[in-house]
Amino acid sequence: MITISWLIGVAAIVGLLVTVLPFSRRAGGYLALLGSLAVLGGVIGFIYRFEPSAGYQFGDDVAWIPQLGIRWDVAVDGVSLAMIAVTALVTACAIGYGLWAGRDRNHATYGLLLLTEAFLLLVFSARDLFAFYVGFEGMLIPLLILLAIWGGAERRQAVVQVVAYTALGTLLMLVGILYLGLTAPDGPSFAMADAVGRGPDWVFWVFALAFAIKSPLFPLHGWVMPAYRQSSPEVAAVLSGIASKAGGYAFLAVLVPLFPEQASRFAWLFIALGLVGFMWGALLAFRQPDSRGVIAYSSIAQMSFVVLGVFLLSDLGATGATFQMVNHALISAALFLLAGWAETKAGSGAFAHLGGLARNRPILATVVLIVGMAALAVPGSSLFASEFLILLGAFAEAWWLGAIAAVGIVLAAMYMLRWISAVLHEREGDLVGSLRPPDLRSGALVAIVPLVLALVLLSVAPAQLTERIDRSAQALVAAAEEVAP
Amino acid sequence: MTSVGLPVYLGLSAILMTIGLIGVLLRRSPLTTLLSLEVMLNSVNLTLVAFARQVGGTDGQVFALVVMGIAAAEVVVGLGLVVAMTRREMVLDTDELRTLRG
Amino acid sequence: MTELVWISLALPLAGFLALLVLGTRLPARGAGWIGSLVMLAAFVAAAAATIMLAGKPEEQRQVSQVAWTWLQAGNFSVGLDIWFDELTAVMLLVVTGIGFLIHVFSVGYMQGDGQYRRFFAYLNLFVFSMLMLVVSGNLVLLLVGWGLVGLSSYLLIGFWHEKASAVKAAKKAFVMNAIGDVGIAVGAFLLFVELGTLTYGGMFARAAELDTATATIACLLLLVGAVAKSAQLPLHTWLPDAMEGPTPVSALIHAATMVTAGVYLIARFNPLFAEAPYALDTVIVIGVLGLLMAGAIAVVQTDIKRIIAFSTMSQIAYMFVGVGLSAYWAGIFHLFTHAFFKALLFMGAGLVIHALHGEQDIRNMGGLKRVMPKTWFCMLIGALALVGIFPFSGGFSKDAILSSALHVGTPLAWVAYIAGLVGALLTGIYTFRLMFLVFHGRMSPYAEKVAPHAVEHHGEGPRTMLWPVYILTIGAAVTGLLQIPGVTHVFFDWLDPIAPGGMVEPSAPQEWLTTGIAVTLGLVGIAIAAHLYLRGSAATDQIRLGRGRLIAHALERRVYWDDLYEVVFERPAAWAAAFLRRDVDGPAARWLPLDGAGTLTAFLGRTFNVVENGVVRSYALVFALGVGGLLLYLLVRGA
Repeated sequence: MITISWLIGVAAIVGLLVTVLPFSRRAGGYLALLGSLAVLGGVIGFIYRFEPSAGYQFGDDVAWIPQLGIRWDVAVDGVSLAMIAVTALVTACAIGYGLWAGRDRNHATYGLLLLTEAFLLLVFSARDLFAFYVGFEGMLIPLLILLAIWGGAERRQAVVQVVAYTALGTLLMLVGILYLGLTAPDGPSFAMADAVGRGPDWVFWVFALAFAIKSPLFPLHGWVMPAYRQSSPEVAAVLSGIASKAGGYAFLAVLVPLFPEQASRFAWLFIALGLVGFMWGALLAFRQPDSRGVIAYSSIAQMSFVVLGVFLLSDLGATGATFQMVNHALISAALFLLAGWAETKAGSGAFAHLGGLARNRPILATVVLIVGMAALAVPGSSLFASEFLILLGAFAEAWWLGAIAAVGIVLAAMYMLRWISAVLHEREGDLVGSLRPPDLRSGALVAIVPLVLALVLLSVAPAQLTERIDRSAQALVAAAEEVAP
Repeated sequence: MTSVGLPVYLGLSAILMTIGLIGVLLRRSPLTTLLSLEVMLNSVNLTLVAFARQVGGTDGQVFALVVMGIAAAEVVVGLGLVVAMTRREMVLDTDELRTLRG
Repeated sequence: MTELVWISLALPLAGFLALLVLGTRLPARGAGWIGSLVMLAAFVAAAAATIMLAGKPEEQRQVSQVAWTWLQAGNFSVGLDIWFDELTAVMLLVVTGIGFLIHVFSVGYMQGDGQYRRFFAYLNLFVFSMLMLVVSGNLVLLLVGWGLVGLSSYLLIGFWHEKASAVKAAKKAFVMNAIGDVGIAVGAFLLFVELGTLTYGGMFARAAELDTATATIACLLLLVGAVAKSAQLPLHTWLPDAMEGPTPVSALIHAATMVTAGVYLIARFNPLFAEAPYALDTVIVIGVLGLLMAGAIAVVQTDIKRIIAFSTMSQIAYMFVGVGLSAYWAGIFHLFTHAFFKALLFMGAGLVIHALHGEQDIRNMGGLKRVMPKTWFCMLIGALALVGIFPFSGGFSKDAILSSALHVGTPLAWVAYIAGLVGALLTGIYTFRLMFLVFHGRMSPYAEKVAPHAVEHHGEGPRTMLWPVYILTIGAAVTGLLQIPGVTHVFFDWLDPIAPGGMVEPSAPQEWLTTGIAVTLGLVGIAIAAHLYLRGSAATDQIRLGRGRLIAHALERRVYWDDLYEVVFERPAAWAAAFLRRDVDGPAARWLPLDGAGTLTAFLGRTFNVVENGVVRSYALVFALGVGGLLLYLLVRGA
């Protein structure tokens, strides 16, 4: 039987080979794409075989560093399954996009993307705190290399900023993990199951800090802008699409179940930060001068919503939050690929230079419209479904909370409409004429369409996903829910 | 052969160490500094050997041998630096050689 | 029977997808005919379903069916289901029937537009959304249809996206409708928390369990959605701007179908509103204010489509009064007749605009009756129906609403009655002001130059544009006969089962009395319009009411609602966003890790730099002192 370790292994090994060996751009790229497709195939197999009622599945549990009680303990529940699936899809699309849309990529970039995927898969499936930490910290390495070497003009500053934020969070978390692992009652053990309810407040806070930075949760979102602006489109897609989900996932699958008492006690703070972050992101997205700015701040807004959903500590909130992460991963990846396409072709992403792209570009216009409408959660879209669950959960918790958060729908409509118009409508920008080829062509299109198709499918039958998530999400928040007064 | 007690060795070692330290701290010529360092190292060697004899093990002797080897290596590097500095007609004064300050 | 409803729902979607996928591979005209044919097929399916429904005994006429579970989490579950009853049937017929005619009209109207296929794709999408809205069997799915309607409306208003004003109008419409969506969504949350279900059957069966306060809040939240979609006070400002879209869009969305969705919503949720009398009163108040204000504004507008748009707002306000009085049948009846005559008026305006090469200002028209007699005749029927002159359709339905107010007889109902009659007078004035200024009097220089030439070459329009207008003219003339007071009862009898709590029905004498007064007032209005506008030229100064400059100014500025929203919402939001971006978020994000951490590190560096003097001997001294200190410590501790 194929387990999740196999997928991690394939991604890691192929990724490492492609990065290190002196492949040509094409050979390396296709090998990496093949690797990512293999992982995607494995994940699709998981989706079919998954039993919602059977808890953790497709796992392995072997001793890794026995002296310290560290185990390679990985397994997949409904929430992980959703995250793994979207990770596999987004990575494959990002590699495909880099392969077909970029002529100037180095073969190593594909390998590094695949390595990132390996680390992310580990994050989403680890049942051992140390393994989790390896994934959580490790994914930064390939991403930072990608940013530092193949980023934009101000990449140095961006790297410094990302490192300054994330190092702060993860190093403190390491201290927390070591504390939890070494104070286990029966000798050192890093198994998550052994750490439940055992941590003191400070460990809760260092965990929360690391996850909040990664998510990013207001007010720790300072690294997002430079990182998203300076990365190449496919790296930005991976960063905002799936790497940031490590934070949201960790809130739901690590923080809440491990610290049920603290999570319940401090839930109000995270809910408040989620609300503020949502408004903050939406307002700022409304004034950004370029696509990447809008997408980055809309990401902050959407991820704030996820945190809000998680800390409702209810079934609806947790399922909605997971679903929201899936949707946002697909949407922001697609948006970054689209925006990056126009930007790299035209040489600038500023609305002042791009605009009126709808003219004579039916394919681009259609794709941008579909993704844009999905991003503003037009009723009937999958994002609408997930926001509906979160908001319903919030309303059930406290009516005013649901009512305030619902206003966010209007804000989202405002900034996304502005983006759509700025890209597609009105006056044609002065750089638009230089687009070659003028419309989205097979290469970039093939990389973006799977994301769009996934969004459409999730819009038609979101229950297919939520029924797989539901039980696991409920289990994750059950302990914290019980503590709640 | 009259046997000399441990305190005598230790006393000598202390004197040597002090002489070496004073040399390092007061003299500005790198050559003298190296010389003083050798004296300090040897004072430690003396201590090691003396203790080893007192205890009856050989660990101290082994350590002393290692220290000698390292001291020899250190002198090679140090003297090499001094020779190189002389060739470049630099001032042989440790107080003037402060380019590496932070 | 339900299969037919599903087919009717799926056909426009199939048309949309086909046009989307085939795209430019289709010949332009082919796209138009594909779009129209699926609409015809949908109409036939809807009509067949309605006939089958009518064949059933009355108590079996509420059919629902679930296709699959759409969204499910915990104890929340909502299916993709339909609910087919008498009300659905009426809406289904209006949407597909009028929709089909407008598709055919568009085949001619949009001819020569480079984006022909896209237009029909959007039209089909809109009809699908609207059908989704009316056939859905639960509140979530209704919200989905509600939102998709807003989306396709956005796409169609902003269809000519090169025009900045069109894009702005489209965005405005979408955002205002999004406010309505939020209202319905929050209403849905409340109802789910209270009742544990969102299907119509489940909710209505348990509606009586709600206490009055909860029911009132829920209904008011739903009303927010209804008000936004139906362009009623205070969320009405998007409708006049929405006239930036192509004229068939105005006819389809902003007259016949979408804007009446609010009325449908209230009628649909009548079992809930029955528990919330205050919410119903609010509906009446909104209707009364809206019909007077919109009617007055329509009198001073100069854009032919905007006049009709404000007239639409005013007529929908009548419908609100009707459903607010619990005379649901009267509200829906007016919705039904209004769909005919208002679509007719818009399409007639479309013919005029078409002949004048896109000119919409009535000051540049005049005297067109001579060159466009067919259009004039059809629009005259539409105008008479709008004013409510016997025996044209609008009169029967409007008088049904007003006489219901007479029948109810509460103080608020009396206010509504009188306001409705004043509204009838205003309707007569603005409608015939439009007719006189466009078709009668002297031709303006622009019309002189363009119109005779155009008509000479193309006639009043291609056949695809004229035939739908003829059909609608017949509809506008005769649909009122379905419900002649004291004679026929088709509409009331058909809709009676949808309101378990019963509906208000006035007596025949009340109706005839109201008709008499309303027709008289309508004729007076026409006479005033004739007095003011029929003689002389269509000069600008005469378009004003003359006296009361302040009122005229207020009406021309549409009673300052737009200005109010700009000052209260737009500018503060834009300012806050700009402030946050420039002065808070950007600097903070840079400061925290870079300037902040950097400053700290540099400070520490400078502080400790003192010991880094580079003198080897001083290092050695510190080292020696350190060792000495350590030894001393060990000695002391050892002792």
